[in-house]
Amino acid sequence: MSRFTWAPSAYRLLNGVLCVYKPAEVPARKVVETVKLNLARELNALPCYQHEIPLGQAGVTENISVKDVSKETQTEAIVDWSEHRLVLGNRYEKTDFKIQFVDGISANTSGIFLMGIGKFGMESVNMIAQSKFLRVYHVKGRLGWATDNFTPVGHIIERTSFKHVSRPKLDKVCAAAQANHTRQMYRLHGVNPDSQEAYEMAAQGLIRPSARKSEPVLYGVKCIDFQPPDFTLEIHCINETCQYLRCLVHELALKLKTTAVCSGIRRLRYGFFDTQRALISRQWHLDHIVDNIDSNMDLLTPDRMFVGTQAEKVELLPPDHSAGYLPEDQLMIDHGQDLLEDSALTTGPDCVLENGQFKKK
Amino acid sequence: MFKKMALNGCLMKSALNTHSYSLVLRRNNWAKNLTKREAKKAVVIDYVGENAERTPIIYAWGSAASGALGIASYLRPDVKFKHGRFVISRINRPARVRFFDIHKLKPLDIACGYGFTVVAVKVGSRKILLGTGMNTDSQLGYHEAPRGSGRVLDQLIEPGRIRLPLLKPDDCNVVTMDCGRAHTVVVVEKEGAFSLGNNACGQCGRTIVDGEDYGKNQTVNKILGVPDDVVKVVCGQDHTLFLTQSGQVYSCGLGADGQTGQGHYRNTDRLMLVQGDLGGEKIVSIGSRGDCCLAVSENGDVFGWGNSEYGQLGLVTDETQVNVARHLPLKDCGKVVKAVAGGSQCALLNDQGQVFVWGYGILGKGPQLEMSTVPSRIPDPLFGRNELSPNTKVVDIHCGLTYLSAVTDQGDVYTWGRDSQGCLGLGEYKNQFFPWKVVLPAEAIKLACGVDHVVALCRSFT
Repeated sequence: MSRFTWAPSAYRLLNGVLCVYKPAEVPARKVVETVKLNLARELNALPCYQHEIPLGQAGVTENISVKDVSKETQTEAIVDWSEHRLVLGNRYEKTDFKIQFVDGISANTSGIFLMGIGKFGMESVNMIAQSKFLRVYHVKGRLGWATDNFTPVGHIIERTSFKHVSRPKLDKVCAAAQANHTRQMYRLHGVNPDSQEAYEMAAQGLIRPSARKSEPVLYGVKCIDFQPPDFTLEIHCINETCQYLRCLVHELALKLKTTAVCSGIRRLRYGFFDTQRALISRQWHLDHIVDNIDSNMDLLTPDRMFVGTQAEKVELLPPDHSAGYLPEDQLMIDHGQDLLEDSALTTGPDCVLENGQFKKK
Repeated sequence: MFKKMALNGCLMKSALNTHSYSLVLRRNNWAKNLTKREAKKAVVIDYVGENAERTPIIYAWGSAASGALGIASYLRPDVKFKHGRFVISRINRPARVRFFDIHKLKPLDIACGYGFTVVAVKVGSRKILLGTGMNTDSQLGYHEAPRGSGRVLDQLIEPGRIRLPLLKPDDCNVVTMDCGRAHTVVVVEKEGAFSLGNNACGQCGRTIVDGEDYGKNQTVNKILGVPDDVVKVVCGQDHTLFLTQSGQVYSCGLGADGQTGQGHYRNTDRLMLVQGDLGGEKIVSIGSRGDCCLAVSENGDVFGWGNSEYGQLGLVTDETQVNVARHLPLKDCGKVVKAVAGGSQCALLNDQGQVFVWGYGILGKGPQLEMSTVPSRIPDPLFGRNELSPNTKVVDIHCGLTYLSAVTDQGDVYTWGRDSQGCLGLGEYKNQFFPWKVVLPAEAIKLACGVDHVVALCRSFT
C-alpha cells in the first residue's frame, strides 16, 4: 500500500530522473511501458478526485420529499452515482506519463538504465546525454565459438580451439585495444594536435569526445575474470553500442587466434549513476520511484551536468576500485558479488522471466 | 514410358493452366540444414598449433625510396601486381615486411643506417645476416646479380645476404651491430668485429686510404684492436663507439666535433679509449646518432662529449664542441639508465620509467619548448600512463636524427619530433609535438631508427 493519500500530489512528484536496473531479455521500451503501467495503476488506486466516492461505497442517496403524493406513488430515493469512481473512471492513463530514456541498452543487455519522467526529467536527460558520461560495462565472452551476430543464439559459423589462450595474452590484447583508442580520443576531441593546448590536454590524461554522436571511444579494457572458456572484460567507454561491444569481443578473440561470442553484457555504471541507486524490477512501484527521483536530484547539479559539454577531463578513480568513478565519501561496493547474490538480477539459465520479473526455477 | 511422359506433361500443363502451385513439391531443407549445422559444430578449427610460439614480426615505416624497408613491391609494383604501376616511395604507417614471413626467417636483431637496414636472422638452424637499402659504399657488402655479370647492385630493394668472413659462416651469432651514415659494424660472438662501408674518416676502424672507392667493394674488414668483451656498438654519423663488458668506451672515426672524445679534433682510424671523466667509471649504456655522444655509468651519472651547437652539453660548456667526456651535473633526474643523442636533441630514461629531454628542436613538450639546456621531464600520461593503466612505464628510448621514440612495457611505441618521409609512423606526414602512439598490431621488442625510416622488431600477441 502506498504511503500517499492523494494521487495528484504523488503525480506532481513524478518529475525527474529515474535510475532502474534493466533485466536482460526485456527491451528498453518494455521497461518504459512497465513503469508507465505500474504508475498508472498505483495512482489510480489512490483517491484521485475531490468528491470521489470510492469503489467500495454506494452512491449518495438523495431524498426527494414529495408531501402531497400518496404513499403508493412515492418513488424510491434517487442514488447519485455521478461522483462514483466507476462513473468518473481512471484519472491516470499510460499516456499521462512522459518518459524518455537515454543511451538505451539492447534487449539482452542488463544494467543501469536512465529515464527522464516529466518535463524537468526529460530536460535533465537531454543534458545528461550532452554531458557524455563514462559508462562501465562488464562484458562476458565465451571462447571457441563464432556466430553470425556475435551472440550465443546466432547461427554457428565455426568452432575453434582456445587452449593456447592464457590470461596474460588476453591482457595484452586488451591493453593494445585500449591504447589504440587513445589516439581516437584526441582526434574526436577536435583540438589542433599541433598546438600547445593539445599538449597540455594530453599531458593531463583522458579527454572526452566533443560530439555527442561520434565513434565509440574505449578508455579502459581490462580482463577481470578468466576461466576458460569464459572470460569477463571490464570496459570503460563513451558513445558505444551493445553491438559494438559484442563485435569488440569477437575482434579481440580473433587477435588471439581463436573466436569468441559475447554471452552477456551488464552496464554497471552510467556516469554518477551506479547500481546502488538503481531500482530492480520488483521495485518499479510508485513509492520507490518517487524516492529514487528524489534521491537522484542531488546528482543533477551544474558541475556534474556540464562536465562533458565542455569536453573536459574525465575524473576516474584508479581501477583497483571495482568500477568507474564515484565521489570519495560514498561507499564502494563490490558490484559483481552484490548483484550475483540478488536472484532477481541474475540473468543466468537457471532463471526465468515471469510477469516482468526474474525468478529462480 | 510414353505414358509416363504424357502423364508428366499433363500434370505440368494442368499446373500451369490452373496456376495451382500445390502440385509443385515444396522443398524442405530443414533436416539438411540441421545436418549442416551439426557438421559445423563437430569440426574444431585450430588457428594455433600444438607447439606454437609467438611469431616475431618486422614492421617498418618511413622512406621506402631507398629500399630500406625491404618491401620490394613498393618500388617494383609489377613484382606483386600484374598491372601495378604505383611506386610507393614513402609510407607513414607501420607496414609488415612480409619477406621474413615468406622465407620463414626469424629476425633476431635489427639495425638501421641512413637509408639501409641490417637484420640478423635465424633460418632453420643457421644464423645469417641480411641487409637491404642503399649500398653505394658497400655498407651491405657485395651484391652482384646475376653472379659473374659485373652488374653490382648499388641498392637492394629486398633483403640480401651479407657475407662476413667468418670461420663458421652459417653460425653468425651477432652480439651487437649498428649502422652509421654509410658504414656498418657487426660484432660476432667468438669471431670479432667486422666493418663494411665508408671509411673516409676511419669509422670502420681501419687505416684511411686516400681516394679509396668504397662502392662495389668485395672486402669486409675485421677491426683490429677490438676488446673481446664488446657488448654494445653504437654508430653516430661518421664515428663508431664500442662499449665493453667492463664498462670502457672505445671510439674511432670522425673527430671534427670531438665525437671521438680523445682530446683532439682529428679523425682517428684506430680504436682508442675515450678520455676525460670516464676514467674509473663503469659505463653501462651509450648513445649517439648524430655528432653528440652520451654515456651512462652504473651509478646513473651521465657523461657527454662531441657536438654542443644546440646546447646538448650546455650544462658543462658554452662552446659548441667538447673533445673529452665531461660529467653532466643533472638535477632531479633520478637514476639514469639510458641516454640517447640525436642530431640536435637528447633524451634520457631513468629507472622510474620517466623520460627527460633537452637540446633544440621538437623536444616533445608542445610547440612552445624549442630549446633547453636542462633536461625537462615529459609527463607520464603522454606515454599511456593514466588512471586506467597506472603501471605503464617506458622501458626503452631510441633516437633518430630529428625525432625520438619510446617503447613501453606494454610493447607500445611512441614517437615524436620532426617528420621526414613519414618516419614517425603516425599516419600523417607532419611533425608531432608530443609523444603519440604508433598503431602497431603487435608487441614491440626492439626499435631501430634510421634517418628517415624506422624498423620495429615485434612479437605477435599469441
